Amino acid sequence: MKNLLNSLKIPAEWIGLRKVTENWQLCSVRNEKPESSLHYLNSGVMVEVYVDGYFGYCATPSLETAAVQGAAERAFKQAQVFSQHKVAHLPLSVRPASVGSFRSPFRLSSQSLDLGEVHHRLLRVSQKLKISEKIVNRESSATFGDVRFEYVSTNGADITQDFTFAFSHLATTAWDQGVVQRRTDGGFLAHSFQSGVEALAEDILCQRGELVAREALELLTADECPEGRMSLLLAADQMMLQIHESVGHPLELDRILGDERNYAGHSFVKLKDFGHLQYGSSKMNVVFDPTFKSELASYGFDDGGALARREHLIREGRLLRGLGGLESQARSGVSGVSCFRSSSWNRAPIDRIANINLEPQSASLDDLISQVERGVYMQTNLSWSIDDFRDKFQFGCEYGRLIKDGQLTQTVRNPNYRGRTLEFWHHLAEVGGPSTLQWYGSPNCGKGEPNQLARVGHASPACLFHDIEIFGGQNRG
Amino acid sequence: MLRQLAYFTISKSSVDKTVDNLETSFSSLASALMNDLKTREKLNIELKAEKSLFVRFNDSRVRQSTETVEGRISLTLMSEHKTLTAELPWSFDFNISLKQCEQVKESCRAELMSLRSQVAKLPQDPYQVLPEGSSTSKEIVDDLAASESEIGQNLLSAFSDHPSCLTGLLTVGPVIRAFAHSQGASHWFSVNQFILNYTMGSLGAPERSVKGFYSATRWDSSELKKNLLASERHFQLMNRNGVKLAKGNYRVYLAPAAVYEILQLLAWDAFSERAYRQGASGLSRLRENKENFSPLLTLVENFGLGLSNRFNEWGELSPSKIALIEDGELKSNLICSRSAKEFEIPGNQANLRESIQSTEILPGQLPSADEQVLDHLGEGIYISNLHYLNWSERRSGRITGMTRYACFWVQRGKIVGPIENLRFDESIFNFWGQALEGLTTTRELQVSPLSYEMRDLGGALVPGMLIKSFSFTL
Repeated sequence: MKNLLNSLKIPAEWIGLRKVTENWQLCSVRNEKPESSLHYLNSGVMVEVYVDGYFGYCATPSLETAAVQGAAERAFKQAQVFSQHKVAHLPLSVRPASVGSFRSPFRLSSQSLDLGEVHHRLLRVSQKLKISEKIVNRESSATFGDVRFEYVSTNGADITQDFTFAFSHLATTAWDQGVVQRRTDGGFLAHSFQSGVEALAEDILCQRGELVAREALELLTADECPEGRMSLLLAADQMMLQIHESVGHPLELDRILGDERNYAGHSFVKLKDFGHLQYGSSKMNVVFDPTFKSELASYGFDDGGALARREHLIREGRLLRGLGGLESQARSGVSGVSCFRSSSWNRAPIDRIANINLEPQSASLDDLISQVERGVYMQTNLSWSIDDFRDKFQFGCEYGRLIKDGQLTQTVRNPNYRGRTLEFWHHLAEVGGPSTLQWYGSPNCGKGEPNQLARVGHASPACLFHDIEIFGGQNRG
Repeated sequence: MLRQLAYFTISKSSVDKTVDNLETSFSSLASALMNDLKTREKLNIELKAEKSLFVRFNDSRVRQSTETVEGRISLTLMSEHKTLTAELPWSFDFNISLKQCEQVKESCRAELMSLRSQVAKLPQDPYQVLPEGSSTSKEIVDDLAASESEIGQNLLSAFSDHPSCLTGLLTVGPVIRAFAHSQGASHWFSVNQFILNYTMGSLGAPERSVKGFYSATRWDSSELKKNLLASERHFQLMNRNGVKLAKGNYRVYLAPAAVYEILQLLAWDAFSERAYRQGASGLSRLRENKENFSPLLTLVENFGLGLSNRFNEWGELSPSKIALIEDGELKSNLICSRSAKEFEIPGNQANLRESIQSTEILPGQLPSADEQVLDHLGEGIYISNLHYLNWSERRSGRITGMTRYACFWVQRGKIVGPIENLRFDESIFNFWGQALEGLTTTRELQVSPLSYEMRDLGGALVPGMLIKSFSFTL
């Protein structure tokens, strides 16, 4: 890459090259029949050229010198034109000359497992999900692969990051007498990690699958979730979505600066809120953490070369820091984190959620339940919707249990809740301890114009909220 | 039985020679790979490609600009009842040289050999769809009448007319879809288009913004001016005092862009036969005759709109029109050939996802001019756009989402002021059922602006809708 960079002849103040190489295997099985098998390869280079405080971008799938030179020339011409109309003058310090590497942890490499073996494994797992004729649909899928990011620049950056991923998903649909209930394993692709294919071991998948199938059947004969204002205990796999939508996205600095207004939306958070706004109760501590290597969005450096460090975004409920890379920090004057990321070689980086985790405290799950007079314990996200300022939301879950006088009682189906973000987080009454902590991820966070997907990770304990509007699948509104 | 179908539409006044070059290269690649096949092997080859300029702007200033040329080749090998697909990059510019063409062939040939060794290890697929027939089609729309830089300059002029006001994305360039299979099918779809997708409103008051959209296959700067002026008129209304409404049921008018948001939710699974059989379709009650939509509603999948390629992942040509809802009744789901095998029913050449792509809702009798629409609305909410729709209870057709952008409280047929955005939670069997009062006579073409991984094709032609009662919850 350095040789390629050195060969470019462009009279620009700075040039950067970001090469991404991807090699994935994806397979899915439904009702004990193979559904799809895919070997996915992708590679290309994004050329960035800096002219008068502005970066022009041009991407090419070809690594030939002539093609990259051509891309650099186009990026340079583009930068010359658009720098005269730029939204902000960016200093070159937003592209630090970092040198380093990162490697995902893994025990068994992606190459140690072929699609044939994965398929047969998933077929066996799918068979295990068929515990009743009422389980009419059984899905199992696995995705695994490697992604390499290489980044060099004319001011001396030289970074190589090698990621190894393994994602798995299990789902069942139970159907009886007009009632249909779907139950998944933590949500769609929630088990997404930086890992080798040891995460796709058959016994691990079977164990998770058995619970999914049992609970789908349970939901068929469950009552609808009751309606009213009451306590809400959220399991870690719903906290993932709650954190993502009502903490992660509202804190993105480029969103607050207005870049996303036309698509993903804006934020109720203002720049002056950082350091001052009481976002939630004093139990709320949220960190940006790229250091837990197995979590899906851990890395050593972002796509602008900024070193990735763990930082508190919210401490004891107070908002401290934004989710914004060096460009947004320069534009806003607000502290941020290393989160300037692109989906692949063909997109310019923007501020992205990475790993955003809620820190555990000390309560066990039983402790949390014992504090509830009347409420619902909800697990696994099913439906999500929030307004374009990240304020008014409505989320639905797959599975609920009533809590009465400090005890878990019957299963309920179609549990939903709605609220407003700040009010909701101020109603955070208790945070579970390490025994309730779970890690989840998603490879499908969407944002940006043009659009990009990002891999994100969220770790959270179970959390208890009081006085939340809860409802089920009956006449409401 | 072999089917011979041919379908041609070519519209070009200026030929993009690099796209022509790509077409020749693709054909040459397909021939080479078909020659490499062994006995009883079948192969599908797909190409998705684009050449794009993206200019992202905020407050009428440029935030980021990106150019990209890219393509993806998909090879699906079928052998002994087993199927395996490889997707690999088309690693060269469209203006590919002979030498580079040979390099593409070699890397695809190597991948084909790899597929051959791996496919044998897979389990058999009883619902495998083998290539059949030798249908051909060619649709080319290349009439942009302006270069990317000219369009970019027009955009910059628009910025000077609307300082601190425009945020969004300009996308320009050709999008290509191509297909070939070992039985002789061959398809090519290429459209050179632009999309100007924008919000008009200042960063200082982002809640007072309006949404604008201008997309076509022919650039016309006078049309751009008209489009911006229309947005400007709504934007001026946003300066009126805001109106805070309590939750409850209201009469509403859904503008075409809002109706399109509903269609985009339905695109997920609503008309999919496979999703219905899994209990995952939000329109299940329609299929089970437990509900009907209003007889005012007719919805057709119509490839004559030119929004998307008509051929699917197996090289089958969809019928030009498929009636999905007719006078309120469900006429058909989308059934791909794989589902047809699985459920032992006739298919209708739907795509693998069984999703709507190029849809129209037939017009009604409601006059479309703003004033007349407001008169018919009387007292209620004018909804220009909706946001973040999702099923809140799929089996009963309940949808939740938010109002967004220029939504107004209307009294006695006059706009009072913009509303604070509201959340709704309502059954589609209500608002497209007995609560559907009318559809407008004129319709708007909505084009998909999505570009995850690569640019989408597709869209819809939709009217506005007057709804008697719509439930807001927050």
